Amino acid sequence: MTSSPDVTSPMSVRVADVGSRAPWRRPWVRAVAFQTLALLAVLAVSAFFVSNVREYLPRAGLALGWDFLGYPARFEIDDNIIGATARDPVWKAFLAGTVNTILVSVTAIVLCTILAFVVALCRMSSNWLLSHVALVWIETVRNIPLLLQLLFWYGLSTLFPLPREAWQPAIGVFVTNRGIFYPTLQITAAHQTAFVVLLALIALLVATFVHGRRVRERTGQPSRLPWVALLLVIAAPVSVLWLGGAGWVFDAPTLRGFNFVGGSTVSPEFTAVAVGLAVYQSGFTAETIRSGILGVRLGQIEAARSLGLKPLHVLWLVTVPQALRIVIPPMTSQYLSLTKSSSLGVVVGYPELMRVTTAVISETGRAIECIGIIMGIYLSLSLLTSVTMGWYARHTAYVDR
Amino acid sequence: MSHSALNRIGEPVQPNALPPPGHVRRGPRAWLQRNLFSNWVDTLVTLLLAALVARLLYRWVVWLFVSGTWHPADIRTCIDGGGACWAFLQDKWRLILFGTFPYEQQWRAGLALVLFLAAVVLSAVPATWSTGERRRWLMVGWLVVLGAIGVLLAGGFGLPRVEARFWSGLPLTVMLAFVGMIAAFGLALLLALGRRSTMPVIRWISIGYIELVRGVPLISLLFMANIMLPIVLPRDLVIPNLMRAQLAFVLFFAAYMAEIIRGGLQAIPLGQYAAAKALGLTYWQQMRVIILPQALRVVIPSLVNIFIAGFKDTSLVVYVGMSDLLGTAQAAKADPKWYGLFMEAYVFIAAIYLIVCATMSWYSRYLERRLANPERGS
Amino acid sequence: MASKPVIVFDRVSKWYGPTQVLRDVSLTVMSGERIVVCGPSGSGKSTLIGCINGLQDYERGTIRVTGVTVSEREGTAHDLRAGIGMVFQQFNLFPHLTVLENCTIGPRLVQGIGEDAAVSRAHAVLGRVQIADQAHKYPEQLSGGQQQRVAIARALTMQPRIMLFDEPTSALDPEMIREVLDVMTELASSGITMIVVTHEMGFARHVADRVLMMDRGEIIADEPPSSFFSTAQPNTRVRGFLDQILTH
Repeated sequence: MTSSPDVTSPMSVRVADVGSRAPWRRPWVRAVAFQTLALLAVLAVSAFFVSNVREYLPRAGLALGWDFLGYPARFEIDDNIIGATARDPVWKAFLAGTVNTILVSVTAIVLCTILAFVVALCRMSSNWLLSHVALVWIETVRNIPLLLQLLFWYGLSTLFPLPREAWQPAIGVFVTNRGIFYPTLQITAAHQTAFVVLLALIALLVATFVHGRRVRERTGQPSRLPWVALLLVIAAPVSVLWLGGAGWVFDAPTLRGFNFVGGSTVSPEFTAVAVGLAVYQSGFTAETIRSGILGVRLGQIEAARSLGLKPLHVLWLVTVPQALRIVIPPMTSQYLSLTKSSSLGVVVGYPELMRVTTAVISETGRAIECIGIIMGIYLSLSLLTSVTMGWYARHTAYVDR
Repeated sequence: MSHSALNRIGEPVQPNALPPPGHVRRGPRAWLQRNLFSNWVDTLVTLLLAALVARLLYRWVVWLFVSGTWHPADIRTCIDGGGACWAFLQDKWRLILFGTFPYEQQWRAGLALVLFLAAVVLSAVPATWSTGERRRWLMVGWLVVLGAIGVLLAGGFGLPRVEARFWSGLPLTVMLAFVGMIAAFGLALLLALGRRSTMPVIRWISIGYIELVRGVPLISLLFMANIMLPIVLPRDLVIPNLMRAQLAFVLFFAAYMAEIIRGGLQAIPLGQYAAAKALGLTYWQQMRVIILPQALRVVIPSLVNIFIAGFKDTSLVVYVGMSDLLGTAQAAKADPKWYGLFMEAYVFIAAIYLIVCATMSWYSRYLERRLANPERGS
Repeated sequence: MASKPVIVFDRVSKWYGPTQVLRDVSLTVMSGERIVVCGPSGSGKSTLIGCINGLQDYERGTIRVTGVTVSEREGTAHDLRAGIGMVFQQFNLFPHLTVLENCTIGPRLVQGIGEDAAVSRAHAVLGRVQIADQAHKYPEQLSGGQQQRVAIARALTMQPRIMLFDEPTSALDPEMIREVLDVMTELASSGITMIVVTHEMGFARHVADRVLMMDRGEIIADEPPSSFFSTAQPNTRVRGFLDQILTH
């Protein structure tokens, strides 16, 4: 055994020098100190803010508290389906704003999904012209600021005809620069009952489908139950309507003076926000869908083909389910960002959450509480989505091995 | 590529669209047949679409040029003329581009923009940052350019002073985006490292910050910076509008960038961390020399995408009463003299946004290709 | 002999969650010793050497290197690492740096020697592993065997007293194993303390002073190669293992 010192690499000085470190150079001491400092810094900044707020409040003649939520709002929300008025308490205004945010977001999400799916399919077509038209669409809508697009759509809606010269695409439907007017059914108790029955039966239908699938998986025999349930879903509400003697009276919009009265309205602001959000987001979503479809391995499709499946069956049984798995997580975060972006509706005057909040602040001066509320609502929407997504991801993950 | 896509979406592959094996037909005629007229459905789609596109283009050309008005007899005929009212842009283009920047001094804002653009274009060429020495020169160059831009905008060295509240239009948009992104990047690096830290307090502060900010819309942060900052800060500490908006931008985009950088950090194999550690490097040496250079290289395309988003989202500052490019366009169309016009102003600035963003996204794809397939040299 | 213990394991235990990967391991390595560690996969051999330079933590017992307890918390692990070279199965070269930069980074940043001194030292070690002509290439332009030799050179630039090898030839194509083993054999003759996790039994037979076999977190054999490989090996688990890898 050679115990002579290494000739080419002399013993490193550092190894010989290693000993125990001075206390303040030990990593654990530093970690504790550093974290304590970080925590103290956060606390100090918060305390600084709080003390300034304490000083500000009496100066502004304000106090913190949630009492203002019970006061009358004192401003009208033009466009709300829960019927909140200026005399209703502030909390109801917030509710109306939240409902509007959800309403416009859901509308935009539906529009966007349809649009994006069509654009994605066009983009993937073998037809050069079709695919490039889709490309131009994607690049254009993605690269122009959403706010500009909203203002553009809002501006366009002012170019619609005056109520007197309303454009009538269908009987009873009027498109004007004051909004789109359409007739509504006069709701009776029978309609409401039928609707409740319908909802209950749809739940039943879903349940039977799940059950039917289990039965099929277990026995190989298709269950007949879903078909029975489907029949019920159609038949039961119809008979409730019939037996309840529901009328078919429509409340149609009619021109009175300078504007329409009666029926229902989709305001230009709502249209601008919903269409703007859907168009803007469709560029991103189309690309997501496309990459999802391209992410399905070709071998999968060839395997399905070689089983003798028809092209449409391949699309629905193999491509779409696998693509969905890839596409759903990014699409959810895109829809979440769409929902957050609906706050830009404030700029064109759509009374969503942000707009209501600014109105409440200017009425009551309660900026701190109001910002707390709005942040809380958006945060819970986001957290809810990410919790759902986490659940979805765990349940759809391929089982390895 | 198109054939595989075809298969995936379930369109049958047309037997006559496939060239016989070993005999690929070339030439424009074959291309047309393959890509536009492969079967009767395809032909129908092509023809209908061509008609539609032609019609749209025709209407645009008519709107822009044929019935566009350059020298109107009076303003109303221009506005109601049914075509683009170029006279409006002739009247307003400087207002839209430079906003309230003093009229005689607007050459300074213009020159600052040109300088900035030149610096960006130069830095975008990979050869500019291929070696350490060039990177050092690039940094020096940027400092000089930024200094010059600062002088041009603010004044000094014999130029009259222009207060920050007069900065508006395109220079403001560019500044909000650029300064915001650079500062956000710095904060994002710390947040990303913090989120992966072994120290629980640091990790939880980072996670809390990132999730909180990503959960709320940008406009609510701008709003908050606008009305909450004056409340939570001492009365005598007045932060100008511009800085408040800039701060909201930095805080917002830092959270998104942090998540992107974290993705890059996660993409680095654990062996790299182990090897760097085994060599005796300290934590910060490991990060600076080994981990971050690799992680950032992976995420450059995503960072460029965030940059594009940031550039577009600067337009939200109109909500807190600032005049960026969108704000000046709004101001221009609000002039009672030109009442009723909006298309011209919007199309003008939409074109600016479109060109800038499309160029950046093209560049991001170019970098992605280059990174996937690096030609090492020099 | 004048050699003294450099690495001492004293009843070291380590868990990954509920599974114990080291069970009361005690081991003494003398200065200049060359030790080969073998054993089935999952037996804890990589963990064993990972604990020596603090890449892995251990829960119970103590490990001392040159008389200093290895501890990440106290910072001694970090200080020790500068004097312990490590070579990995997957090479783990830094892909964004050239071969030369891979080899200068340690001396420059950790030992604080100047750029010129670091470069000349790097050239010397690259010459020693026969790869001086590739100094300006990037790792991905080299073959696996070349990369592993660069990795050895990178560790040597720190002029370590101890070298740890974690399955250095397992990720290599067969025709490249030889060149790496040759470098390691040359290194072994220089008197450096070496601990090598490997299944290259030829290397163990000819170079090692002691051969350790691990199984389920325990050292079940620790003897010179002559007795370890002898046909009269009494331990049936060792015999079974040797039969398995030598017949392949």
